[in-house]
Amino acid sequence: MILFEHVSKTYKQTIHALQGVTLGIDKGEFVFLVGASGSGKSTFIKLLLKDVEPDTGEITVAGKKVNGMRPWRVPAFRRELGCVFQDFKLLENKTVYENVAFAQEVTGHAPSQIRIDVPDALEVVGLGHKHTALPHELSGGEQQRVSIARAIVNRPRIMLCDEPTGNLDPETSVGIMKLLDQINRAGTTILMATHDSHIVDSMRKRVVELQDGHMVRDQVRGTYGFAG
Amino acid sequence: MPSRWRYLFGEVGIGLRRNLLMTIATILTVTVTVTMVGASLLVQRQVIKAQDVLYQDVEIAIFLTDDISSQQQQALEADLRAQPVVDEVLFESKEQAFANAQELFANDPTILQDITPEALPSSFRVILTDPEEFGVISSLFDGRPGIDTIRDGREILDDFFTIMSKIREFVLIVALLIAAAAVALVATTIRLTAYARREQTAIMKLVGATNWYIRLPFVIEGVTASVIGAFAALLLLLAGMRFYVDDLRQAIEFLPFVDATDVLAIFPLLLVGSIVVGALVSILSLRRFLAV
Repeated sequence: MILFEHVSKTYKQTIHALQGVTLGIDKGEFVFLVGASGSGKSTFIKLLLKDVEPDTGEITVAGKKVNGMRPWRVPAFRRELGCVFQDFKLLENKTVYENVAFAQEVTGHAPSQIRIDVPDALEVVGLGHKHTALPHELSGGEQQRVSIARAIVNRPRIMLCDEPTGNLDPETSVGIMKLLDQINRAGTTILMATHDSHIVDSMRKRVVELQDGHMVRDQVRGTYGFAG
Repeated sequence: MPSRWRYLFGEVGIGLRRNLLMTIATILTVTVTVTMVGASLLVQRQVIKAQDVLYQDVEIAIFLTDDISSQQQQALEADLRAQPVVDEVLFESKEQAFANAQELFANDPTILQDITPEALPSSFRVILTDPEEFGVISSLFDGRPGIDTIRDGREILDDFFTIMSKIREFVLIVALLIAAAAVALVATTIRLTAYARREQTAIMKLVGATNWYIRLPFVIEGVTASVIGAFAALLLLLAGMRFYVDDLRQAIEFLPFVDATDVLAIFPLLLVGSIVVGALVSILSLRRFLAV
């Protein structure tokens, strides 16, 4: 589903964000991407989204070659990915329902389709009763659930999560992880970059560790540190 | 209304309201620009209209020397009539010239005192099928024995047309300066809107909205300002016709003037022009903002 082959990315000719990373992720996997700040996690996610181009190497996502992809193909490609971020990225002046519907409206879905998909997605994340709430009326965990609903509403094959629990307390984080696990079990491939050792240790999923742009570990049913 | 259209026009409305003063300034400068460009087009039309009428009666005067023989004079007249560009040839004798002069300067006895029939040259008055063909006659007959000078009747209108073309140039230069301001204002308004909407745009890119879809509300915003400006300019030009040109029309009866039909005739050009410029400015001012 995701394939990195000898991928390197350097910023401003001196900062080596990724160096010769080769990694394959299969359909339906749940993978944690761990490492200190500046280890290359964000670059990894940006490369997947085609936010940046690699200097060398090949990136294949959902059967499509991402590096060298023509700009006009990028929007269609991104519709196959769902993204969740630490800061939720919700529109403050839109309701919960509108925030989720937004992802479908701007990609040209029929209104009849939107009226079915949006309540479904909100039901999945457990916010079926909060359609008309505005983001600032919600807790952090609820806001992240809205952003997850927006990510899944177009039924992507892959979900990219960049520190989704970074702004949440441990208890709320557990709820979010249960939700992501549930989405993963329904068949969606999930790649999650995180700092949260408790979550990684409790989930026992595949762990990929980056250090200074190198992949230093790829462990099935791994933990955050080497201890496990 | 399908959701995507509702989204689109909702966004345009929000964008235009958000920077109300900027929007007003933008529309006003667009209005003034279009009005000025329109005025310059109208001056051009005015020149053409006036030309048609004023040139109708224009004649070439071929002044003859006093020593021309009657044989030379007959040959000259025959040659003139043989030219396809010549419509009519009239002979004006010294006596007729004197009579005309007396009529012309009837109010100016001091000039008449100095004029005698002998002092005035006789001439052929040639009316051409098209006054623009003066060069043909002048090149064929200039320097021929018995001819003193050939005068193009259009010369007396030169001053009038010089003034008109100066006015047109001036209006056009002012229009260009204001157009630069209008372009800068449209670009700034669009960028302000784009900045205010940057989070939304980022999310749209993330969920895979196409660049055209992201761009469209901005382009419509720019085009809307252009269209409103163009129609306001139309009203200004029509008002100009009503309050200024109509007065001129009554004051100078022999000359035809541009009227409301001319304004309506040039309006489609002005409208399309401002729409195209508005759209281009919007697209270009978003280029960096929208890089994938």
